[in-house]
Amino acid sequence: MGSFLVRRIAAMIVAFLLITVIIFWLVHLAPGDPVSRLIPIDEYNAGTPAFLAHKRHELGLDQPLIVQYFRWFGDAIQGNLGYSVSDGRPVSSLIAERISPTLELMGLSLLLGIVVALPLGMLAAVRKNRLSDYLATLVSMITISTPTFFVGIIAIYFFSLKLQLLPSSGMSDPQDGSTSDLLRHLVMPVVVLGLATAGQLTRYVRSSVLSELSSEYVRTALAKGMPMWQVLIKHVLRNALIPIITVIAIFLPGLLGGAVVVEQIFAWPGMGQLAVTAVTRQDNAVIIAFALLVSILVLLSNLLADLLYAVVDPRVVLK
Amino acid sequence: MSLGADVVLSESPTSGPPLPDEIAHRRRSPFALGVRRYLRNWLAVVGGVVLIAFLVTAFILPLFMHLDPYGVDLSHARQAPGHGHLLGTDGTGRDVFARLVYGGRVSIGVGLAAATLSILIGATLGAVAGTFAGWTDMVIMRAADIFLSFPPIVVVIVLAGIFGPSVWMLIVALGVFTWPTSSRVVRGVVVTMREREFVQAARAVGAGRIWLITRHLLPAALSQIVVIFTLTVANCLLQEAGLSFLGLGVVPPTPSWGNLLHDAQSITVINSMPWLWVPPGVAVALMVLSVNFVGDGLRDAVDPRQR
Repeated sequence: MGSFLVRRIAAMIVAFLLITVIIFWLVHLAPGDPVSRLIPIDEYNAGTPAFLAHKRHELGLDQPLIVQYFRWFGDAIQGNLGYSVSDGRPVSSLIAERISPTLELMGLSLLLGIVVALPLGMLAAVRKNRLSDYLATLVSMITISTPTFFVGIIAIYFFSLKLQLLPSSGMSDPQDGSTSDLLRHLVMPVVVLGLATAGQLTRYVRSSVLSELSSEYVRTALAKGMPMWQVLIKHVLRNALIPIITVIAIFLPGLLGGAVVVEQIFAWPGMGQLAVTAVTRQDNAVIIAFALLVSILVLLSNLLADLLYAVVDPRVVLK
Repeated sequence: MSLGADVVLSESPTSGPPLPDEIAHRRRSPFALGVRRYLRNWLAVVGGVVLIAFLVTAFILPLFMHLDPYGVDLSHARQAPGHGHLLGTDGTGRDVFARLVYGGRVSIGVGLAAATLSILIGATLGAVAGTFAGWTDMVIMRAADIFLSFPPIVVVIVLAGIFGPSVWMLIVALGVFTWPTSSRVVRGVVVTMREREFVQAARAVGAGRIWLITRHLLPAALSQIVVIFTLTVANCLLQEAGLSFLGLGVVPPTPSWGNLLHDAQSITVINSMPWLWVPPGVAVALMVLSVNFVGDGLRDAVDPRQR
């Protein structure tokens, strides 16, 4: 286990370095003056050509590419990610205030997804090839196939515009900071992203439970006279959860991808909205920071999946 | 259905054990069995019919019907359906139905192109990983894990942010970040086939690795590749729609199902002009749903054990 962990982390660091090289190279190819994203935009706009040339030298942009890379990398891991072109603030503080709304949205949606998918997937597996299985499969297929933004627009149309029950945008109403107001803002984004997650998870739960149901221990437990629901909860679910937990860990970056779209529809002030706005404003410093963060999330969730697999299943010996 | 009639005849009760010749007659080819399994799955059949209807509308209908997706007519902007415009007009008076049909061409085209690229990369790398094994295998499959968990939407955000959005970038990004699914499947088939007698025989008579991959291993994985291709098309269609909706995919005035919905981000459009956002949304959802059903049906037809 120890040596497995060391090797996986080593491989992860190599992958991360490769990704940073690719990001750096892409940024190097990008049009526009790199100085503009490394100093606050007011200074850049006010700067004389001599000042900018001086800055260019000071930032090491006249150095060989490899030197520039190490300089950039060193700055980035210390949290110095440059300045946003659109409002001149340091990117690190922009990102810092956007992370928690995104994590809140992702966490609650994942929770909702699991709460819906577990019983639905189990039901579909137990009633295999019966009406309830077909219905569960059909519903999950529909939620997988309908684009999240379309579901979001439909939700806004009915719940915000026609019924006027829920607010269509933002995290809270500035005039009303009460808990119920916060909750009302949460409902639609979380439900839309949560249902999309549930649709995908249900299929995994179904196939995972299905493969456990054909095991010997299920037949033994039933033969002993144990009721089906007890067999399901006490034995089948525990074993079926092993692959499901791994899948959830790998899902995390995809969930962030979904959050990007949902944040855009409901004007949720998270990282995805920040990134999409950055694209429309050609704010490269923000985009680079976003790319780095997502890469870290991808690598960590892969590692997490490997580790969880060993932790939840004592039969797995990692070597 | 002459085949069906033959079968019924051969299944008629005969005395004594069936002759070997008769058994052979009763057997159907794996392909025919697959077709039967597919046709028994009514969702897959309905999906196939809807899919064909979409393809005909997007690619054949414009040949027979005059549709102008670019004609701006400001005096007839934002008209409700009717009055010579089947689905009304958009903010600059362009015909929504024409844009929907031509948008379908673009969206389906992007989906097919991206999925083709994805399968080409995935099948090649999967076959190489499975045949060469060892170190090569490990590196390719580790890379597959990482590529698979990068959400394509994020990759396109980064690329569109740096270089500006374009259709070609979209196709390449979707292809490059969806290959791991097919590489895993192909590798799986190759690993089980690698030690089969026919492969060993080919190796014994001097077949090289490239020959083995192209002549023996990839053909064995072909049916699975078709299934993965279908599911990848569905995924790429969804991704294109999402990205174009965000304004990061197909760039207007070229229509696509995703960017038709881009304009529906304003509350006024959502509230009072449903003809602008309902048709493209329903089109994407129906198309992806039917492609997914076809893919599921194909998977069960190819390998009945999986369901």
